[in-house]
Amino acid sequence: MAIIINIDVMLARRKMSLTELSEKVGITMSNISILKTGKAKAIRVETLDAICKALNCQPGDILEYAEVE
Amino acid sequence: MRNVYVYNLNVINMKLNLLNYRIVNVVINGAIILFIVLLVVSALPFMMKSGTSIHSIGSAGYSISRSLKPIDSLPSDTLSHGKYMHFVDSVKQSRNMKNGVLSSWSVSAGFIGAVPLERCEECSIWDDSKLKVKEYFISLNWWTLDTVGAIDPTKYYVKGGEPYLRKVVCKPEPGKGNETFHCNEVDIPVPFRYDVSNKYMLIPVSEQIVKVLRVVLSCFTSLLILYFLYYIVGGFIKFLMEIARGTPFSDRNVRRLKRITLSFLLIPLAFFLLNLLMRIVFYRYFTADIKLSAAAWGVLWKAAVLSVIFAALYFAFKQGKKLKDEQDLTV
Repeated sequence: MAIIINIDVMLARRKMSLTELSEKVGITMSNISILKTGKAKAIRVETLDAICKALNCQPGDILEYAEVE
Repeated sequence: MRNVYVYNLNVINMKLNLLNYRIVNVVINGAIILFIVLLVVSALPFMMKSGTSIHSIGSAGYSISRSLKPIDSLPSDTLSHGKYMHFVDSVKQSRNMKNGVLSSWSVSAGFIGAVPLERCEECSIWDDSKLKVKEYFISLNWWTLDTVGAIDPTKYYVKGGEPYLRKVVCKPEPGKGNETFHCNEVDIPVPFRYDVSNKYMLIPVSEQIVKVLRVVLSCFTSLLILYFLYYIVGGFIKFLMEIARGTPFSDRNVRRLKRITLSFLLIPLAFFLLNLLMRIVFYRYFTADIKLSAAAWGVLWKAAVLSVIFAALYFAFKQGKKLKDEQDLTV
């Protein structure tokens, strides 16, 4: 998939761990892992809203489109 | 208006996409190939016509002459009921011995089998086997004798080790067109043998071939039964167990349904086509009196119906799994 979810960069900037993020967002570690490893097929708007709120960022900061050749 | 036009195009696209499913294509192509093969085989030029069939007589008048000796002795009119039944039974036993009875174990695998018979002209099944002639045959279980005759049913019998068909043959009387027929009873020698009780065709072969075929068919039948029990019955039971466990839409379930669908589709089809191939392999033994039995069609259509049902389940569960995966990978 060409959409990349860059959670690591924002986590590093905010000095937050994956576990803290999963607790703040309210989703399981396995789902966070699915997001992080790029296996996710879809993301709910409310999840994106919760992630952006937790990381204090814009959706464009964590979503990137890189065309695969 | 443009939105309605675009909606209609999308609906048509969805319907066309359904038609592109591979298994549906395989089923349709398989049916077309089978139909063509059946047409070609039925039109093959080694059918010997023997007289006029019942359909061409219709409501026309006919005369019949029965000049041949009866195949078996007929009971006297003066016999008591008990003696009559005893007589009929002994004639039947004698006829079975003349036609041939099973001498040892036979093996059958669907459309083909290996059959050893023994026969004799004037003895019973309890007599010493040294008096009997042993003969060996391949049985073609899905080919049977067409006993529908012009007036009387066609009868098969063996005399002096040679097989015959007794049938009534009708020909139009000269000078009267198709209004009146003259019918004669005739004995026609045939190249095949026939099992009257089980109603299948027998091809004479050597003892060695029957011995090898018995082993091969036994192994093949055992493997087929094991495959059926493990993959079809066992597969279906495991499928139900996974549903009971709460994980119906899994890769394994989808694979099981696909395997069951293809088994019900391909195995009977292969048997049917191999059965038709037997007609080509043993073409010298086939005459116009031999036809495909109802058993062959029965196996095919029953398996086809099961295949369609499991194919529907397969498509449904495949779609279900796809939706489940999307749901599982939606964060």
